[in-house]
Amino acid sequence: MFIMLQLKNIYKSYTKDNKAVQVLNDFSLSVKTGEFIAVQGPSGCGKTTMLLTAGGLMQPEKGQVLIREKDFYAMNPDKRAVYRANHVGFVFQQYHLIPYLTVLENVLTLNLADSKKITREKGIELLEYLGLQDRINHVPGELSVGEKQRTALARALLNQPEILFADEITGNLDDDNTALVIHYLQEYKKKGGTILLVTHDSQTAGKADRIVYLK
Amino acid sequence: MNIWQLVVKEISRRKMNFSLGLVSVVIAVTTLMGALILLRAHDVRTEQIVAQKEEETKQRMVLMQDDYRKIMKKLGFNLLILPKDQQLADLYANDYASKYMPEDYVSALSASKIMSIRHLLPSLQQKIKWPEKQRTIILIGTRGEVPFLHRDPKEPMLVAVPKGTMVLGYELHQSLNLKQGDKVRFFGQDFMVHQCNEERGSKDDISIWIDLKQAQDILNRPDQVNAILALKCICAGDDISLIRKEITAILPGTQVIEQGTKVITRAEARERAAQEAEEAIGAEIQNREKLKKERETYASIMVPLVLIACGVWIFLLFLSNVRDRQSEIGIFRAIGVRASGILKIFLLKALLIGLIGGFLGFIIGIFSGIVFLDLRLVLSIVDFRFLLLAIVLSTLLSLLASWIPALLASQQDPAIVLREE
Repeated sequence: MFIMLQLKNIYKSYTKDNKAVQVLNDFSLSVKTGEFIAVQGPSGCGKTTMLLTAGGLMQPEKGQVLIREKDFYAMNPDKRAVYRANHVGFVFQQYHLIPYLTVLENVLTLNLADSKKITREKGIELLEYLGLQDRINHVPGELSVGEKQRTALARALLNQPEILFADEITGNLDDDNTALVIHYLQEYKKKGGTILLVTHDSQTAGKADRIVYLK
Repeated sequence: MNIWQLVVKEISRRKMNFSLGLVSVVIAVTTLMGALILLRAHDVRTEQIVAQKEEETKQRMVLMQDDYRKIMKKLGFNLLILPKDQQLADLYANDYASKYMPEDYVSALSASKIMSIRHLLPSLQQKIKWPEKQRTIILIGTRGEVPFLHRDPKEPMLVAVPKGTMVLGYELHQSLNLKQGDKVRFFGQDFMVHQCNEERGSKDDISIWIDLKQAQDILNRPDQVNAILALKCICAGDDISLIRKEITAILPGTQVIEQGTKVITRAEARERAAQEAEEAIGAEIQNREKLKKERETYASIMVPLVLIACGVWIFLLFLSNVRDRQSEIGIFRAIGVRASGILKIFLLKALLIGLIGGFLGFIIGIFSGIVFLDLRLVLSIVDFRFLLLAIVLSTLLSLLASWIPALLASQQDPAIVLREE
């Protein structure tokens, strides 16, 4: 196994109520290919910031993010976007589904990015795999929270990413849905996927290969 | 899922936002179309009014000519009877006849039963030098009007100059400082100034009128005249050739010409009428031009104001749309949509608003024109270029107004939204 993602001496702060808050202070992390890592820590410790920084969405003030040994932030924003479209998946606690698109259309929004084109059939196949075959033409407003999260997961997995960044994806789910989502994550891992999961839930974190604690 | 499908789906989701944008573009384009149609209709109407005025003037001129003919007929012709061998070129060059005819010709006419002539005025004219004053003058010998023997005597049009007196032209009595009652020497004879004429602006101003007999003596032309003026000659059908025939039948050694004054008067009247008509048309054109300028000024203020207001409105609508779609933009960026892709999503929506709004504005603009003007007039004015202008303008307006909000959306940091949530 080689290193998929490496965060080297990351510094990141942000301003809250006119005060600078240092959230990542000389943070380093290495993630191997096919590894499932859970990140835990108290609220406000910088878990989400770390995840967005690792995913190329938030440039650190200091330090390096290497993805497949390439400096992610040495790329310009457009190249990073293309890289994300083809190699990275994101899932968030709030799902971020487009309210006026159906489940299938939400999944296929990936085609708006510069990724390899994904067919409708492939989208349907993935949704069937995630148990959403009856919800394909429903809009997010008509879905349960579990269905919403599985739709968001489908959108993230559709381009078969090398690494999946997941932020509190079981935070709103009941036990059954949590188990279901974890099951799909493990299935993804089995196929060689790498997962960096931010979670408060110790039970979910317990499914990971490794747990990283942020203070 | 492609970008067009996304735009259409978003529009169908946020119908109010789209409709308000559309209404704004429609108002802008309708205002512009209305202004353009109104101004163009004004031009067309001006052309119609001027053409109508010109036609009316033409008709008036024809009527006027007929009126003049009738009036002139009532006035009759003024004829000049000259010796037959008189060259008209010489007459016009010298202003008087150079050939002579017997004074008896007047008697022959007055004794005849000719009915077409009303008044007869024989005269003897010649340009000579007034030896006592060393002035070139035109001497006119006249005996006043000769009455027709077979008719009842009437008030003469011109009275004779009494023997031993003279009537002086304006320039002569002014320059020689002569006045009525003064005595002057003229060709060795004493004359009294009988009358001083007002200024006439013609050869009359250097003319002296004296008794015909005295003039014949001075010019050594006893019993001769060189012109007989026949005034107010009237004949059936207003045909001068009939009068000519009648006169030359009585006086074979003469020729008859019409006095220029009447011809000139008729031409002058016609010219004056034409000038007045031209001035009336000119005034109408000026009024229309003034009205057009006022309308242009109004349009040049109104249309940009409406365009700016609509542009600001679209800008605010898009700004609000961008704010509402922050989460959407965030996730699009996260899944790898480029900044230019985000820009496209908003600009395509603006393009649709521009295209649909432009077309609707064009249709409503024409409809408004038809309501306020006239169907045929509006249809004759509007062509494909109006539609093209409406579409281009509305698209530009919509794209320009939405450009900054779209740019803000494309530059939005996705991490801010994603982290906050």
